[in-house]
Amino acid sequence: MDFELTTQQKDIQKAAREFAKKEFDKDLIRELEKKHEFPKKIWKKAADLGFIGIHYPEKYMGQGLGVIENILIAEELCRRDSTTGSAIVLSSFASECVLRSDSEELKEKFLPLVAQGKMLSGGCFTEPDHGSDITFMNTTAEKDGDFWVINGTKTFITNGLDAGFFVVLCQTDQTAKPSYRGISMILVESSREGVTATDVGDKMGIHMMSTAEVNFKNVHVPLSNLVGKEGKGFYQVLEFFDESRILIAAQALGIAQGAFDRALDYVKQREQFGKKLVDFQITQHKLADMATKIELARLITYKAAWNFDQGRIDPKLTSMAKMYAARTSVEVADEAIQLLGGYGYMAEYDVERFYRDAKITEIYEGTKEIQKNTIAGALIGKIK
Amino acid sequence: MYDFLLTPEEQDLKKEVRKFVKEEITSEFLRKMDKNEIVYPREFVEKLAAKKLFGIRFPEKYGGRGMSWVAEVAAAEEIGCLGMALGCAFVMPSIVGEALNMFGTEEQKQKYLKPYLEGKLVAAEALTEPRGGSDFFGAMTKAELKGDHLILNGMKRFVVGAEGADFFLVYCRTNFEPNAHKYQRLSLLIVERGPGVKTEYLYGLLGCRGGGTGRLVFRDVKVPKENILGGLHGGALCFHQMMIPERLTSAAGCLGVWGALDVAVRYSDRRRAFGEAIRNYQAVSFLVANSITKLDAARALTYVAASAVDKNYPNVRRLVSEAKRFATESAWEVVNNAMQIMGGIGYTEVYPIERALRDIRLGMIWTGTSEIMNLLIQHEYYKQVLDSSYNRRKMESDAMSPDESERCLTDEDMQMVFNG
Ligand SMILES: Cc1cc2nc3c(=O)[nH]c(=O)nc-3n(C[C@H](O)[C@H](O)[C@H](O)COP(=O)(O)OP(=O)(O)OC[C@H]3O[C@@H](n4cnc5c(N)ncnc54)[C@H](O)[C@@H]3O)c2cc1C
Ligand SMILES: Cc1cc2nc3c(=O)[nH]c(=O)nc-3n(C[C@H](O)[C@H](O)[C@H](O)COP(=O)(O)OP(=O)(O)OC[C@H]3O[C@@H](n4cnc5c(N)ncnc54)[C@H](O)[C@@H]3O)c2cc1C
Repeated sequence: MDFELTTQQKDIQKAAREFAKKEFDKDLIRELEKKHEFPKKIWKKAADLGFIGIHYPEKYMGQGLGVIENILIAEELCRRDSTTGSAIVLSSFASECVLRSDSEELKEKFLPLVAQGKMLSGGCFTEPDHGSDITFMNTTAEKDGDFWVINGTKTFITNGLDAGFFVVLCQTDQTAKPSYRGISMILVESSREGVTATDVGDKMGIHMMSTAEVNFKNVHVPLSNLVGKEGKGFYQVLEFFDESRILIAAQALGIAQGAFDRALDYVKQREQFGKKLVDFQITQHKLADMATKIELARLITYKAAWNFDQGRIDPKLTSMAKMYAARTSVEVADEAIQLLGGYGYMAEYDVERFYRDAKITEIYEGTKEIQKNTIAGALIGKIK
Repeated sequence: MYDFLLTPEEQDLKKEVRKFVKEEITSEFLRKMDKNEIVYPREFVEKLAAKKLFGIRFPEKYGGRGMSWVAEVAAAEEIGCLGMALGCAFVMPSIVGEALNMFGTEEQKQKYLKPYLEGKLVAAEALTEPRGGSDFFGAMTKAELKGDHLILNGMKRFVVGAEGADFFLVYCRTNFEPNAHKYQRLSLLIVERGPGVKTEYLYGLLGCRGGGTGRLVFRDVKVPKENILGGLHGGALCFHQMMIPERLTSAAGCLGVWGALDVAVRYSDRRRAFGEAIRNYQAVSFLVANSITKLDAARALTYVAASAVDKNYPNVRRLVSEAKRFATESAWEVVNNAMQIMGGIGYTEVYPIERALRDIRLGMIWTGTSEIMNLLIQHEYYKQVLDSSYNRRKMESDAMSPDESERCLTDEDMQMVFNG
């Protein structure tokens, strides 16, 4: 047992913290969040400094490090600012589907672009009729000579308007039984003819990322755009979730810590009834509860990352981490609003935005109910 | 719900308000408010007034209907589904009107209450200051008596209707005696928008948008002496009275969360995942069960509190504060559940769930935070139980060991046992 981060990990953590402190300009953030714009400049800088794709091998312009290093960065960025941090963290969303596959050509072509901040990636799993349940896809891919021809509609796609490519979950075999054995993962460049994206409109939070409906109409991509194996897409996406849920847990954890930092600052300064708010016992106990939850969320998130880096897959653990960190994030941000009183409700003091951003972590990458299904399934085992 | 608690007349009112809510307010109007394209919903206020639905508790001669608090709660529960800002506009006469009706002179009532209820004037209430919302009696906005008028200076923040209102009820310090008791420091003034009154700033809000929430600044505002409500230095009395409508209407408005819950109920009846309507998953249907149980409990407490006020029950402040805290917290839980049931789409603006969620968070902050409710609730209950007239079986007398020395609670008790 060793709960200590390595010196290198501490350095990375510190570098990410300093980067965010320096580059996350308050006014710029306000403006971007208001206009719903991606933080392009900050993203480029983050990539220049190696904060994106740190878990890719060096030959793909990464640093050959693990999930733990990746999430330390995610945590620090989201802690400094929930909206900007989340956007940077998800700039490489679903690229791990390619990274962990054996599709060498695709890795060489796309991963360096992502790591260098030249391209955003996206994952197209959800469809209007299939969110939690992706065991069957209405989006189809059929072979036509040297091409896959893709048709269908995906919805709620993060980076949908801006991504350079998407990893798309398609039904390639309509007759497979069970249906998920007929699902494959195909990489589709957004520049291909027939790919269109429309923003789903306003949403509660994560305003710097577009969320779009992505439509595929007779889109032709080479057969070599298949990611991994034909008919294995469903299994590959579950494995991807096993990694991505740790990242979402870290996003949630960072948001929680950031909301806590702000609340702590505030209650140390604000006075009511001739006392500092921290002098009220109820405030102190709230802080104690918040910090305890954050510490627990951190422990399980780090453990899940560490476990992944050991080359082990444990969906139960990653689901627990994602679920617990997300809940913590929502609860802590909520309490931060309360501690700031009227100011908690105002945009000026940020914690309302942290709450809005925290909330998505309980919904995407599997709702908390779906995490519980996974955990319970693992606990109970196959019922005879 | 709880129709059996309502008189036939109150039931009719409820139906009338239901119809108003269904027919008079467009979705577009609500969206525009949320996008801050409407600064203040004057149109809504005028519509209510035209239908005589504004300030229904007040005497008919001032434009009200002379109805009960229970009726007011029943109406606010219906209006509440339209969101915080409209809910607030609907109940504001109940708050401002309380002071005018209770403490106002006949002239004040004719000049302010009547045109307000007729929709000709709009009013707002200004208590909170930058220096404090919870610690109300420390208010620093001040008014100095100069002959037949007062000169008002200071700043109020987070005032709903700061933009939009024609007159304000402003709490300010008028007694500058250094030793004046906190209950004798403040006065309540009726301040018309005019020279020296400025809305300096509108806030970027999580929700409750379109209600004109802003910062009010007073610079050498001349207020005639006749505009003092409840007598010079009589602000504390007004505050303690207005606390009742403020808190009770906050509770009642939040009951409007039924609207969001119903969306989730209908949605989960139709939405399918893994070959099932999602309501067939207990994770979903039990969330509905928890939500409606919470909401019903909140309703029960709120109606009880309303009825207690109608009947002049002695513990109304405690009950009203309990209802405020419980109803606003329950509504928050319910709307969060509703969003969870909706999955991804609930997070988007496709359904108004996320708007409802942003709105409802305010309930636990304004008109006194949950913590401030608890301060009053515990205080009142201690007082009640420790009062000599409290006459119930004392279960301490059933304690196992009747020996005094076992029941020392303090050092003094110990000394009594050993030295006495
Ligand atoms: C802002 C945003 C960004 C997103 N980004 C992406 C993205 O980049 N790529 C992508 O593919 N998707 C993305 N999503 C989609 C997201 O992953 C889905 O919304 C999520 O998985 C839930 O699916 P759903 O919305 O269809 O809800 P549903 O599946 O309809 O679920 C509705 C409710 O039913 C419950 N439920 C469903 N099945 C069960 C069950 N078996 N047991 C118990 N309860 C159940 C759910 O927990 C939920 O409460 C995004 C969503 C949002 C809002
Ligand atoms: C959208 C909006 C509209 C509003 N409209 C109006 C209006 O129309 N008119 C008006 O006058 N005001 C209005 N308010 C103000 C509102 O009533 C105050 O924000 C509220 O009373 C809290 O005061 P505060 O913001 O100063 O918070 P603070 O008093 O600074 O409180 C901060 C935190 O400390 C806690 N706290 C304070 N004292 C104690 C204690 N003794 N023990 C334990 N905890 C404590 C509080 O519960 C809170 O969690 C509005 C506010 C908002 C956000």
